[in-house]
Amino acid sequence: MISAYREDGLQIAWDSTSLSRLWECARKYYLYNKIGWTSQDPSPHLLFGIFYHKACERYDHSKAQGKSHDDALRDAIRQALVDSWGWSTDNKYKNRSTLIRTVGWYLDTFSDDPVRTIIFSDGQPAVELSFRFEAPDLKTNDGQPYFLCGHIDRLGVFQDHPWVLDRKTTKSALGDMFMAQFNPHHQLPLYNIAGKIVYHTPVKGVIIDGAQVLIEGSRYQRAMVNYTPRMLDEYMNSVKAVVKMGEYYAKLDYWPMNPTACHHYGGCPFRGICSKDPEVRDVFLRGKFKIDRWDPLKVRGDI
Amino acid sequence: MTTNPLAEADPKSFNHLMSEDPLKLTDEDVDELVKILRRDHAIFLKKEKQPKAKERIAVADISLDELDIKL
Repeated sequence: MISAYREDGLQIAWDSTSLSRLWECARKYYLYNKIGWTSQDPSPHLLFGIFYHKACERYDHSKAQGKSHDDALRDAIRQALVDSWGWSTDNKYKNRSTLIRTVGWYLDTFSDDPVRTIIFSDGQPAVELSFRFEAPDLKTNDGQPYFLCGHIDRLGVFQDHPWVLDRKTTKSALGDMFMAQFNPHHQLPLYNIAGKIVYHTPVKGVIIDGAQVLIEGSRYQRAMVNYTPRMLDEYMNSVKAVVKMGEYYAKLDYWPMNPTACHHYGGCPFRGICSKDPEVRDVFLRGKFKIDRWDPLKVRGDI
Repeated sequence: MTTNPLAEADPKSFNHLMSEDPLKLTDEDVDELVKILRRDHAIFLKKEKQPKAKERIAVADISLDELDIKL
C-alpha cells in the first residue's frame, strides 16, 4: 500500500484534482495538498456530487444484478435518501430535495440507455472504478516512479466500442458552452488513458452526462468527446511538466500565487486568506479551515 | 416540486416522505416518491416545450405584410 505523499512531503500519486490545483495556482496546491487545509463545512456542491454519484452507482449495480429499471430506481432513490439524511443546507440549487429529484429524473431520462455497462469476469459491473498506474517516463529526481490515479464513474459499450462515462452536475446552462469545456480538459483525458492502461479496454472516448440543477427542475444533456492518440500524448506531456513543476517548487520551498486565477468559478476558497498580510494568514486559516489533507488514493466504489 | 405547506400533513406528499427517516420508509413509500417525481418531471418537460413568453410576442409582432401572405 503506497502513500500519496512521501515522508519529505513530495506528492508521488497524482489525481486530476491535485493536478488542477497546481496547474491553476501553486499556492492553492500548497495550501490544499502540502499543508492540508480544507473548508470546515463541506461545500454543498461536493456533497451533492458525492450523493448523486453514489445513487447512480447503486442503480448501475442493481441493473447489473438483473433488476428492472423501476426496482433499480427505487434502490437508487433509497440510497440517496439514506446518504443525505440529516444533510441541511441553505443552497437553493443543491440540496436534499433537488438531489432526489435530479437522481430520479436522470435515471428515468436514460432508462433506455444505449450504453451498456461493462461487466467484469467476476460479475461486477464496471462502475466507480478506482485506478492507479505508474506514469510512463516520469520519475522523481531521485528515481522514484510517480503514479497517476483517480476514479472512473462507469465503463460502458456504445455501438460496439468501449467508452468511459462521467457524470457532471452544474447549475450553469447546458449546451455547447457546457460541453466545450471538456476538450481540452484537465481530468477526462486521464480517464481515457486509465481505461486503456488499467482496464485493458481500448476506450474510444468519454461520454459526459451533464445535469443542470435548477430550483424548478433539472435538465440533462449527453455529449461525447474523442481524444486522439496525439491529444492524449500531449496531455501526458503536460501532466509530466506540471508534476515536475511541483517538484521544482518543493525544492525551491516557495509556492507562488497565480493572481489571475483568484476569481475563477466564483472565487478561490483561499482568496480571503491570500488577500491578508502574510504575517496574519495563519490566524485566518485556523478560523475558517481545518487540516484534513487531500488523499488522492482514497478508494471509492463498492457500495 | 411540491411546496404546499398543507401537503406536509399528507403522508404521501413529497415533503412528508422526505422528512421521514429513510430507514423506516417502505418500498411502497419510495415508489410513491418516484410517482411524485415522475409527475413533476412530466409537468416540467411540458413547460419546457412551451414557447417562452418572449418567443410568443416575437411571433405576434410579425405582420401579415412581413409574412407576405396573400389573403
